[in-house]
Amino acid sequence: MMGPRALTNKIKEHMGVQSRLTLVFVVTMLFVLAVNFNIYFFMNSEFERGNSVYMSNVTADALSEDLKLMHGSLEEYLNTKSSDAMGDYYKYQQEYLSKLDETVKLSGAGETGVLAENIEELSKSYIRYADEAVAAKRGRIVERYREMYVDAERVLGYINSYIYLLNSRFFSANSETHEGIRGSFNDLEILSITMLVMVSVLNIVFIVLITGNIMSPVKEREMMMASHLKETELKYLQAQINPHFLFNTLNAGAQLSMMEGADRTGEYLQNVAAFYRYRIRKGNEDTLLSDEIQLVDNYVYILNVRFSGEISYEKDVDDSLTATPVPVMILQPIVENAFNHGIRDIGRQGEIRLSVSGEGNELVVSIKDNGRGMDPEVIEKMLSGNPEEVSESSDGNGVGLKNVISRLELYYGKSGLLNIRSDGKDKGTEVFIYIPRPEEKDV
Amino acid sequence: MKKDTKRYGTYITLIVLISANILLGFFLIRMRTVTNSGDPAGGGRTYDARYAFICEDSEDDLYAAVYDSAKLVGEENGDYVEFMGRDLSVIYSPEDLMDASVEAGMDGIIVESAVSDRMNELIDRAVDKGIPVVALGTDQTASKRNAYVGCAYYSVGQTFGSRIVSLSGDEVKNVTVLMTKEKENSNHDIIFSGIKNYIESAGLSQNFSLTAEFIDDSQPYGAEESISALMGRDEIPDVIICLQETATTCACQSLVDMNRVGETDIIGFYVNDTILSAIKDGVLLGTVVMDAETMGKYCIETLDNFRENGVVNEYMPVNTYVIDGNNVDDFIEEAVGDNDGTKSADQ
Repeated sequence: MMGPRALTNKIKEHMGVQSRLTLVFVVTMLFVLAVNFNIYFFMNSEFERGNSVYMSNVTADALSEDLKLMHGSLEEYLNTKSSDAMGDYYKYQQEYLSKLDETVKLSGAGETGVLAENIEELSKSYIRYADEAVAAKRGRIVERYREMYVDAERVLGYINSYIYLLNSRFFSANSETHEGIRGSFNDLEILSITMLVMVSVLNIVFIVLITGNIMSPVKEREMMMASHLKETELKYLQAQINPHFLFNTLNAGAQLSMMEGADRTGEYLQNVAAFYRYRIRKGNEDTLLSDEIQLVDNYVYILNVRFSGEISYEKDVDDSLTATPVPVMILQPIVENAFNHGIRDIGRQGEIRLSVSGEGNELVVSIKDNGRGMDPEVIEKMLSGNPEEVSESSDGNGVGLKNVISRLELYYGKSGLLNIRSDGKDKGTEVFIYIPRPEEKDV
Repeated sequence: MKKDTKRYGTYITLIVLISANILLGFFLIRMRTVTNSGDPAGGGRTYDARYAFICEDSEDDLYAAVYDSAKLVGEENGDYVEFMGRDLSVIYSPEDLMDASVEAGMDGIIVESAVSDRMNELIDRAVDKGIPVVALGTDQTASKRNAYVGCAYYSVGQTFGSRIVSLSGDEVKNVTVLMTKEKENSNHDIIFSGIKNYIESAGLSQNFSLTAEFIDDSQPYGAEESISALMGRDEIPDVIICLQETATTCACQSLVDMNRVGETDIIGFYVNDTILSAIKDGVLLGTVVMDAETMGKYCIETLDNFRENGVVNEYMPVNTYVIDGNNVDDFIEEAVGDNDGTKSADQ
């Protein structure tokens, strides 16, 4: 049997981020929908109640109207003795009695109940007199039907007065009910707003929690890492270089040089080709420290050709340490900075010294130049991630120090992996990269 | 650990969301119950009997108090007492209301009305149909009424007489009894006889000149006009006896308006806030009061008895008492506490 936690994990495994996000939104939207539907249902039923509030008044009016019609047809019959009028009289009597029944039911008990009972009893009296009047008229007992008609008319007056009173009692009770419904609509308005605000807030909390679970820190780090690499690649593209084309072209040039016996040109082109090949070959973020050092060698060679051997390049590398995996493109940008901002155009022999040594659980890669040096404020700025002017030199490859620091931090999951030291103006700069040994890397 | 916390957070949120929906549901149900409880019948109780209460003047405080008492006792006994005509849009005469009560098949009728042939006929018709009738205040002796609830008017006259006698002095005093035209030959005559006989039996006939003056209350505001006319005369009686609450109130007001307080002694009938103030201020010498609460109670008990046993005590007298300067404060206190002024104090 699978426990709920195991089931959740299983679902998580099988659901992509999109599906999970969709689920979250569907659940929250369904909830909002349920609340709205509830409110709508209540409002609808209240509207219906509102429509039927004055039903008892309508019935009482109809009762009064039927009574009038019944009495009218009685009068007509007594005047004309027409069989139509007699038919009408009995028809309206039936209608009146059925309305009366309805009114009595609507009146319930209590004072209105007593009033309705009065009307019922008076109506019985009226119908007795009226029926007797009709019978006397048919039997041509003139005195009797006149007498009965007068009695019926007398009672009719009382009935009308009582129906009027009952109607006003109904109206006053119905008005109270109406007021109640109005009050409940007001309550509902406040409730709806409160509920919707509450539900929205809770939904936001819910979404934040759920998406927080989906976007775990590890995944977020991977995504940021990829984003930075993309940025790196984009910078290359911005430089309008097609590495494949350039690499092939350079290789072709190197071969041509060899065939023509121009060995130095051939070597130069090979170095340039190797430099660009590096980016193509290293499609992912990992590489070995030795490859990074090789790239620096290529780069310095190219620079030396370009600038007629301005740079004295020295390496002090412990080869046993260079098999360590590191993020790609972390050394070359620093060397590029050392050249562009340190030793270029200083009017003396520029020196760059690359050293790799092991210190405790870390490898220390140092890139040192004898150039212009840096002010402590500039160092501070660069380390804190605001090196506005640092990377964007006109002929650099555009991958700045900030980018290197970010990728190091993301890759190793901790900060403080890069440090800069300078003894002051014209006293050179030394950049240290502290690489945790593989067993130290906390990924 | 962190993951667990988040998971719990999610579960808590879900629970809160579900609870909120349940709360909403409960709230809606509650609102529905509240709005559905508006019972158009108002009260909703059922009654064993419907009694009609008819009185000539629905504004009269005495009979309004009697009705209140009857209604209260009726509620306790499961009877609904309807003040006939009071809420109707048409103004009906007591006779018409009696007729309507008979046609509406009431279970009992309490009627306060002047004596008339038509009323007698209607009472007889009701009794013949098996509807018990209690005559209230004025005994309908010529009818088949089942019982009379009210005071003994002769003794009311004697009470007035004793107060008049206490005012005797060396000079002959003119005593005017204000009687209504409508009540000619009925209660007011009996009261007048009571007064006269009391003075005679006290041997003070020569000290008082007793006359009756009729006020016309057949027209609206007629009583007030008649009394104002009387008070406006150059010579007004030394003692004025009012036999109605309205007349008493009007007499007090006229005396004050015409600035003639002290020129005459008025003894009134029944009580209200104005009358109590007038006694307190010395405008009114005193007033004779009927026990309205007991009257209302007797009416209902009589009708209930008739329905249950078929027989009743035909004569149910109630006490009268006098409020004057000596005890008016007690009644003012009661009126403040009760805002009624009809509470009895058996003598």
